[in-house]
Amino acid sequence: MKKVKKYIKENNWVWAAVGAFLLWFVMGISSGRLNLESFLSNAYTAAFLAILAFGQMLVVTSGRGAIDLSIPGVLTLMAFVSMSIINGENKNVPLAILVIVVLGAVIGFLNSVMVIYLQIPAIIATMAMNYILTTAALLINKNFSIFAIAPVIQKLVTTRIFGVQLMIFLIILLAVGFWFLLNRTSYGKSLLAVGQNREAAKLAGIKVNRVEMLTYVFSSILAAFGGMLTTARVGGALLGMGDSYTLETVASIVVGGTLISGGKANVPGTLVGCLFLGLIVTAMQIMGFSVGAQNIAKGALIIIVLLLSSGDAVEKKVKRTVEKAA
Amino acid sequence: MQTETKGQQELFLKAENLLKIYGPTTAVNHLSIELKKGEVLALVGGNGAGKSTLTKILSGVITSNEGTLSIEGEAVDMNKYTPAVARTKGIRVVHQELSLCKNLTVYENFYIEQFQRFDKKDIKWRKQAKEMAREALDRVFPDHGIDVNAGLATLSIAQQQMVEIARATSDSEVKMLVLDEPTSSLPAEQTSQLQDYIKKSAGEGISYIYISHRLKEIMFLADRIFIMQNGAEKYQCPIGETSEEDMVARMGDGVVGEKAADEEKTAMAPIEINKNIKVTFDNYSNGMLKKISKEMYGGEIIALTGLEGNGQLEFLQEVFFQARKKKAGLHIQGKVAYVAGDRKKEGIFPLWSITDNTIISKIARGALFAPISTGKTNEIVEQWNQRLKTKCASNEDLITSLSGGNQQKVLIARAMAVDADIILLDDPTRGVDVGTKKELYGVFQEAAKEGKLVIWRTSDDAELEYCTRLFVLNAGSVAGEFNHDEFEHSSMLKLAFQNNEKKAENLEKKKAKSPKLYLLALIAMLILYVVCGALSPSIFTKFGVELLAVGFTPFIFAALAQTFAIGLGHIDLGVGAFMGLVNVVCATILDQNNALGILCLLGLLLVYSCMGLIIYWRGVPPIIVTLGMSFVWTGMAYVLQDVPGGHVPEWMVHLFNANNPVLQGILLWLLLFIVLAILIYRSRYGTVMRGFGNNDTAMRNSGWSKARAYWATYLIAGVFAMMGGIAQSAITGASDVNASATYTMLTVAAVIIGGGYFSGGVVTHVGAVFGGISLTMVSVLLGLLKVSTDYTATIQGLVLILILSFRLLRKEKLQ
Amino acid sequence: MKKKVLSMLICMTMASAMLFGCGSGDGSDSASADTSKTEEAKDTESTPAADKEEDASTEDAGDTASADASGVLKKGDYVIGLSNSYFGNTWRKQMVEAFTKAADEAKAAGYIKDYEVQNGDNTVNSQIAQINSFILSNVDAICICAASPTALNSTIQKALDAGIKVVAFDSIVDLEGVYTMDYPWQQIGKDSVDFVAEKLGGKGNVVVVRGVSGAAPDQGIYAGITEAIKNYPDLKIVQEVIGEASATKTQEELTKVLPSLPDVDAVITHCGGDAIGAVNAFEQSGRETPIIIGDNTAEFINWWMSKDGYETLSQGSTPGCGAAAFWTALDILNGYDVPEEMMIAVPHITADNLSEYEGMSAGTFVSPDFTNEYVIENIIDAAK
Repeated sequence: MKKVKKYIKENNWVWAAVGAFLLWFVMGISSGRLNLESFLSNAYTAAFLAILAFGQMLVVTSGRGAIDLSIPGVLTLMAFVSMSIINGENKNVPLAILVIVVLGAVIGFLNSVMVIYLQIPAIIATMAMNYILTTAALLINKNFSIFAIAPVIQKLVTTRIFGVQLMIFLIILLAVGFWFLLNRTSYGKSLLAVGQNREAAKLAGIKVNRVEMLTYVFSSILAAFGGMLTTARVGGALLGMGDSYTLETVASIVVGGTLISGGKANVPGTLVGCLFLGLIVTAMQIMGFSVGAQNIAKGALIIIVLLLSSGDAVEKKVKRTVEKAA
Repeated sequence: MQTETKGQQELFLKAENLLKIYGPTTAVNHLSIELKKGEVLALVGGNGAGKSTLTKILSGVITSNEGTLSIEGEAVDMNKYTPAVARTKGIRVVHQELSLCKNLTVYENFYIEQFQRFDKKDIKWRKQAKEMAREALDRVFPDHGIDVNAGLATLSIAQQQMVEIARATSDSEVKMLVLDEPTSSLPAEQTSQLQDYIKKSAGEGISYIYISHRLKEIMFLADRIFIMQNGAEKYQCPIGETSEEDMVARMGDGVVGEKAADEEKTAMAPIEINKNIKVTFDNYSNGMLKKISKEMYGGEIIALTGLEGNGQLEFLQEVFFQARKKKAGLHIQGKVAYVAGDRKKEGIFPLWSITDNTIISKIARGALFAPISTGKTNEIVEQWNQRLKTKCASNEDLITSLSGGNQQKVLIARAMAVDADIILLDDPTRGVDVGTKKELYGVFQEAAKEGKLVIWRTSDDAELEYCTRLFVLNAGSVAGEFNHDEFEHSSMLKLAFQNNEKKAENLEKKKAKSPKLYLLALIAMLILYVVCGALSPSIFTKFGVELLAVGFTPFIFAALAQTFAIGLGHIDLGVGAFMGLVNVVCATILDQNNALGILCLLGLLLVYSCMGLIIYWRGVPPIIVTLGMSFVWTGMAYVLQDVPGGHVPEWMVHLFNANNPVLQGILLWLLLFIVLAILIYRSRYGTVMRGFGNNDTAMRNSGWSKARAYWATYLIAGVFAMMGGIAQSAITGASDVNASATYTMLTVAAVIIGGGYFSGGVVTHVGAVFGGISLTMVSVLLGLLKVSTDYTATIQGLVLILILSFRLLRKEKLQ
Repeated sequence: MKKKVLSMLICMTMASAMLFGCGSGDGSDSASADTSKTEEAKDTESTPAADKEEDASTEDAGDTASADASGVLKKGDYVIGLSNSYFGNTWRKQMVEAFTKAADEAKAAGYIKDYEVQNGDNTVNSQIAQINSFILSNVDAICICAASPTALNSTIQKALDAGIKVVAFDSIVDLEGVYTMDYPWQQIGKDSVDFVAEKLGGKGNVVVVRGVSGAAPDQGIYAGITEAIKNYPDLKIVQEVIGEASATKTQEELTKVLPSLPDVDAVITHCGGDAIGAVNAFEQSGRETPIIIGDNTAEFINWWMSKDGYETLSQGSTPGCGAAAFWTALDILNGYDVPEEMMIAVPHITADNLSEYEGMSAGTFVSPDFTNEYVIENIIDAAK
């Protein structure tokens, strides 16, 4: 029991998980229909967000206030690119995957070059990149008229196993993979170290630049996949399809216990965070919140979560200043 | 040269039985000290003697655990003795780390510290500050050649130090001045000027505590010397009774204090040199290091000693960072690992457990994505914990739960666990208890016995016993080398204190005056304007100018608001949304009920300013807070008005956007607010706000409130953002909450293009205006060139990147 | 200093190179740029018009076919601009294509000298810049599909002051002196409700999908829906979903709320690109597909055609209005009496006339061919 208590104390996202279930419950009661399907459909949507959120989680963990604002741009552009290549035929899928992975890697690499070598703050570098990607998507869109989704992707996105969407299983697998990556590989541990204390990481022999570069590359590749998969879910590629994800990825990882200042990432928390976010929006829709009220709620949520999780930060700060005097 | 005996001099300060313990370390050990009025007391001692701690106690930064303090005969309540109180009693300190704001000018730095001397109602404070600065500098350093209008960043280190010293002395209330290594960067002439000044003012009754390693200077300047060792008084006497050699001898004597009882002068068995592992410096110079030629082999324990700051750290880090590169003159054979001594800053990963902290270096060397076996990890960690006798409840405990000594053990384990051949120790026993220290010495010696090379930078002269060879560093080169057997503390100290460096003959020429920050943006704007005009001459008419200007007016207001935020080192992502909300309020509530509308606007302003307080109070990242708030602002706007429309009251349109022959109303308001923004930053409190953007520790030490500064900054930003919303209202006559949503990111770009930096408090409003106009002109240009405006965002993004890249090339560093 | 100037020059050169490199300008050569000239041109234009009337038929006869059968248009030196706030979806693409096609025809026939299309990124900033550049290059008329009904007012006013004719269509603006072509949003909402009510016998559960928050079409349609539904007390709105006129969003939002809903009998969409999203949501949910009001997209129509016996109503705005706006602007320039407020009719498709819409290509919307004749008869004169 003590161990459980300790775990809960250290992992605020547990409260988010509880909150998510409560929300689902409340939704069910207020609409008179409490069923698994409502949970699943939200989990399904959350799964797509989670792909991107994991990427954002990595970038944020690298510390120094890094954020990847280019995720929406990558997603949208790759949606167009993949659809153009696939053109509705299964046989083109492997090529499309190859192309978007390579493109994603290149974009991530460019982001990292700007951050590491040009010393441009990540928020600005990725924002500029996002502008460029958005324009690229705009240009492709001008002559774009493909609306067919490759059957294999369609199947991937819509199949259910035991009534639960395949995507959900895949995301859980992905989450396990990420947990493993973060906690059981050199890359993951190095990333966590860099985020906590970059100087110490350097002196501990970690190749900081290499770790950061990989991080941005991962984030962009994940967003690229997200783009390709999302086309199946929504039936095509549309400009602006990635726009809402900026805030959502940040909000979900914050709710999930990943520190915005870096150095601490929480994989299950991120999953829960995505789910929680989706449920809140849905719950608000069901309860008839106006658009304005929904926006206020979203904003307030982020701030409250941030304030709550910063409590420890303040304590630590106080301790530090006292010891500094020594 | 001795000062005239002053006979029955009064005591200025008397401290008895001061004690300061940090965990296992006793920094100040039952020390008593007296200082007479008009006396110059030299505080001397080796590294770690406790001088710095003593100074901090006397100036109120730290509280002594025991003892009494009286100043001018009055007892002081130790528990309530803060730097502010010390100042009222006339005690000022000039620290080694300069506490100046580099983004301000010389005289502005004076103002910040001496603001109490200014009459609150005086508008001409600049003149006064300049005179104050000039006068202070002239008094201490005649012919200093420093322009008080110069930005501090353009001054050399020596000049900055002069400013800091002059500032401290300029306080008319000052009665006692503590100078910590004041001449470390000063050239010969300025050093002697300072000394003259000190003598003179001491003669006028000011007391000095002068901390320095420059024994020659002390001989010239001091009335009395006070030698500290291990936190206690070693010896004191009037200057006439001592000499440089005497001081050195006394400092060296009895260093081996604690060990005196232990006769096992760790048997230096004949060292087995392991030539497979070596580090060779061959006439190597880099940065601070000058012409080092030394060979070190496995099996040795090399100590790097000498006075702190003479290149020991650079030596160590050079070996570490160049290990894999092939730099000419430095050859390293063997795996290198580094053990940091400043654990908090460079050593531990505070969120992690002991296990993670220990094993990270080993993990980092492994294949990037290969799975790590926790079993094996735990085994290795446990093994090292046993060997180092690390005291902890469980390996899974957070490293922050350990004592300093045990944390250091973890850091050492980290280096050992990678089977490094060369172990670099950066003063690892600082703040570690005696028992643990002994254990660590044993570990180092064992490592050497195993054939590893240990290079050990130490600040504790007692530790030198454990080394096989010693390098004494002085000014970046090895002043002397000793074998373990031939080593004597006094000779080592002599070399350490020796003033080999040729003092710079003259004051370094000032750094070239850098051009105005906003120059680039101004040029860009003018070029764009001319090019656009060439394509469409009506741009050169009043009509054209007004047309364009009215188009970007709301945006420029927002850019001004963002400038304040970035000046503080934050980014405000809620500017655009806030403007939209204000716009909506103007077209809805304000239209129905003027009083209520104005009340709402004021209320919103208050909330905006409170964002600043929340950020300060909880230390949360401003980006996220303002981002969250942007949703709140937008949501509130939607609640008030779910569809664009509404009606802005006529009086508002008339007031802000009346047509008149000179210039359209709203443009006049824009110009007014631009001027206002500039004036705010030039005002007294504006200078304070800018100071916080650069060095908030210095500001707080000067007595300014950080909370207030944050609140004020956000309040002002809110006002400008609100004006943006009002401008939008007056221009369009109606409202649309989404219209200004996209401004936000662009305002950041505008400030940066205008020459602003994200941190350091280096921003200009004029620059933001030029930058913002340039950005909007890009759109116009594209339109005139008949290029699709799809490209606007991309080009704006690219311009931003280009400008930031160029900046890097120019390598302007303001911090 | 030298280095900085050099880097600045490089920067500007790169920027310009980018511009020229990407210069796939929509439209053609630079328009003349002389304020005074436009004013004079306008004055001189009106007088020769009278003389030209007799020659009109002979001149027109020799031109390319279908130029203008109405006889209103004369040869002219006009430059007409299209300021489109956003190019980001198929509706807009179709709209711009319609405009361009009409403009090309007019240009070939000599009615206009040139035209120019500018597309924005959905921001007010860029549209203001577009309009400004039109004003500065002295176009004669601007057709606007606005990013905001209010935020452009001041800039548009400047255009009006400069004597430029402004026709706002689909996303209109609220400013006196501007010719507006709007859709009967409220009527659309009402028609949807009435259809559903009739089919359900006045009783049932309805889901309403709304459009882009804060935009006039959404407000208009929603007002029409809520007003009309008062007449059917047994018709219940069980859920409102914000679809933002996007099939993607609509599908997503519906998918999330569906499990919590009782049986849904009808879905009243925003009729603006969102309908197929509603279709997908239901089909993927495993529920029976209710009556879904269509939006005249090819996707929806084609899906409808594949479902035997499915009965619904489809209506929606017509992207061809781009051409309608063009012709209207040209008519105004030619002196035709055009009222300030005009409405464009909305095609209604029911099971009866569904077959007429076979073979729509992907991504298109149902839209009549807006020739000038059609425009004058059905839009301009109809509004008088």
